[in-house]
Amino acid sequence: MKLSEIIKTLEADLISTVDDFETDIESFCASDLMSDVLASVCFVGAKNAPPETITLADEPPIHTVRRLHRIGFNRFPVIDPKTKNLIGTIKKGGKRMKLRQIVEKLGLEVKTADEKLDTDVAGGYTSDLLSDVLANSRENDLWITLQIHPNIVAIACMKQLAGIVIINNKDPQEETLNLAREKGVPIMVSSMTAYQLSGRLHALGLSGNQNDAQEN
Amino acid sequence: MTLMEDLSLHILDIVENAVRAGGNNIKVNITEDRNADTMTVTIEDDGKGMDRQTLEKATDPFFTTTEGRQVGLGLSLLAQAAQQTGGSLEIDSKLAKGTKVSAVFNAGHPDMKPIGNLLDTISALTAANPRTRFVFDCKKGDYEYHFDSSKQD
Repeated sequence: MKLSEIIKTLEADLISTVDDFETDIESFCASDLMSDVLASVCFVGAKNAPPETITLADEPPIHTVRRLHRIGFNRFPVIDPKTKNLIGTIKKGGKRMKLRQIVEKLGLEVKTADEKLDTDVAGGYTSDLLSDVLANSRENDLWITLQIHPNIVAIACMKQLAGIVIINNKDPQEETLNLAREKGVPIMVSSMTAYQLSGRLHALGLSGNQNDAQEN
Repeated sequence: MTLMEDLSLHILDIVENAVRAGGNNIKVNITEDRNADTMTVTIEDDGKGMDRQTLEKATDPFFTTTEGRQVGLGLSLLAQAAQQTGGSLEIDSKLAKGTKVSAVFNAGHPDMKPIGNLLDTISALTAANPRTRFVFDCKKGDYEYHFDSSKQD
């Protein structure tokens, strides 16, 4: 979301040190504790804010956070204003693409949930070990794998992945496709190998950099 | 979340299901059949068992009887591990009698997972569940291992 849109929606009195009001804002941090926040796009109510942050004045952070939640930001840190304890998570702004764009650019065949092609994709995760994906993938990652068992749908749901791309033109099991349709999980097929597909996705700008996200 | 690179972690997961089913005795058996080149893993308990409806859904990754979870992956992941070697999973269960999970693997298949560290699994289980009797039997070629937690003092 653009900074200019946020300012208008929140009707905020802005004390800003940001030059570019068309900056894409990925997340907000409601914090007065600099030490708790590693790399954030914006601060709310922060003193001594670094130059690339904005401060929304005069409103208790928790109210701002609730309003942000209502306009679509659902991953942002929340600081309890009384105790100053960090009770949420931070996400640094990173490049996102719509799943639809990725499908078009990489020539993927969409098998299920084409109503979900407007999902934002934040990065990619390439692995065939389900327990590894459970442990290390992040929300809105596009999962690249050769696994076709219905379990992949469960994992995509649990981790809220943007979708699953099956490589080497493998056919997902019928049960997998049915489950994916039922749960609204996009499954796509590519003729590329995992290596080729990962490279191409990476080249589109989705670096899948672990440092982009700090998990709680 | 542990990486499930070997069978001992799958076994731990299923034995934890067995513990949750109540009951007093849990038996794990791992047997290699050299002629058929298969490995069979069975986990048997005398807990509360499952009715037919529950049994039918047991390997559904979205079915769980654990409160507060939306997925129950232990059995479906074990089933997948077996199927990937061309093997299979079967579950026998009777209400109030117990459950037996049998997974057959083709041991020579390239995607066959190694057994892993059973001793770690056994220590973890016996430490966490001192009132349950665990019996582990492992037979792989000339290697035989037998453990009975009721005989420890």
